[in-house]
Amino acid sequence: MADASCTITITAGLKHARRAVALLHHPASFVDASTEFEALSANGERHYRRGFDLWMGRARRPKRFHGFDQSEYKGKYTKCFTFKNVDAGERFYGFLCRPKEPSDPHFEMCVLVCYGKKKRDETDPAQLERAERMRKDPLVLSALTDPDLFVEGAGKNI
Amino acid sequence: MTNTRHWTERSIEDFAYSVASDFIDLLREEMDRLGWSKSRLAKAANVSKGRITQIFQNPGNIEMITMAKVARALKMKMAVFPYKDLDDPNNERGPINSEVFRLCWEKADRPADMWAFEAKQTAQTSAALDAAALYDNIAFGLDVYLRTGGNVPRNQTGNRLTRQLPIEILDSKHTQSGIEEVWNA
Repeated sequence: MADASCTITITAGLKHARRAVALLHHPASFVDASTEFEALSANGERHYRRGFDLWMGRARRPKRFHGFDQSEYKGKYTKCFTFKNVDAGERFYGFLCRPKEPSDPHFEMCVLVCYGKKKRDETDPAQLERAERMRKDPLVLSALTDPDLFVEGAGKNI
Repeated sequence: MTNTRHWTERSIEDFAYSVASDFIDLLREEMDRLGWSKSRLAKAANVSKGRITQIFQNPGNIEMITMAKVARALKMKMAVFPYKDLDDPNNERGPINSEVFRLCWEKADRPADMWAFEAKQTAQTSAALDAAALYDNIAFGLDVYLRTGGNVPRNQTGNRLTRQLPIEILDSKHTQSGIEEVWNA
């Protein structure tokens, strides 16, 4: 059973065949995606939810979300991902993983880790570093194997 | 509690936001392509800049007249239509991304009306039938060739056998003499 201090709650795509988006709850102080997501205004939350839908549906919307390829940051953050609200000058950072391996190796999930707000439309490498750190964190890796991860009704109320 | 209900089922405002947000995304894409700012769009569409900022931040309350103004300012058209998603009647997956509809229209060579749509459908069906017939003839010829070791039987005027025979006949008489027998019958 996963450590109760670290849980991963799927917030979009629980029954989606290809992709899902989740929020991380973790004792590390910089992990604030979950609390910040819950504090969003109604329209702010809608903006991100529509972005989640588009990403899960394989749309290409670099103004709403994107990953980081080998040419950026010396290829250090190729598993990191961001969902943005350019007009509001804010974004959520997270990492990509495949929590249904080996039975469904193509299923991909974005786990949101932290939130950043700033005026300039540029990625904050410090936030990427945090997301990358959580990608390898033992508590997170354990939470990703929780058998209840994809069970409807499990997880926190968000 | 985590559940499977899609967020656009929470309220009609959520649903409207999702659909209008797609509209704004496609406008934004075209503005980027043209290098237009919101101020330029506001001027071209004869809408206040404040209103443009508002609809970009909260697409859910955009009116049809404003949609038409901004779309036409960018030399774009727009479509608004309800549809039945037979695979998802309870909206567990949310509205279909409007880009999917646009891509389907573009893939169908942008039919301007039902005449054009039906003409393209007929052409596609006819091409598909031609391809199927061609495939059948190739398969038949290859089959005859393989069964006869290259000694393809000829008809009475000396032309090679090209008529398609039912497969079951070939299967029951899969020798050169068998094929000739059928042909001469």
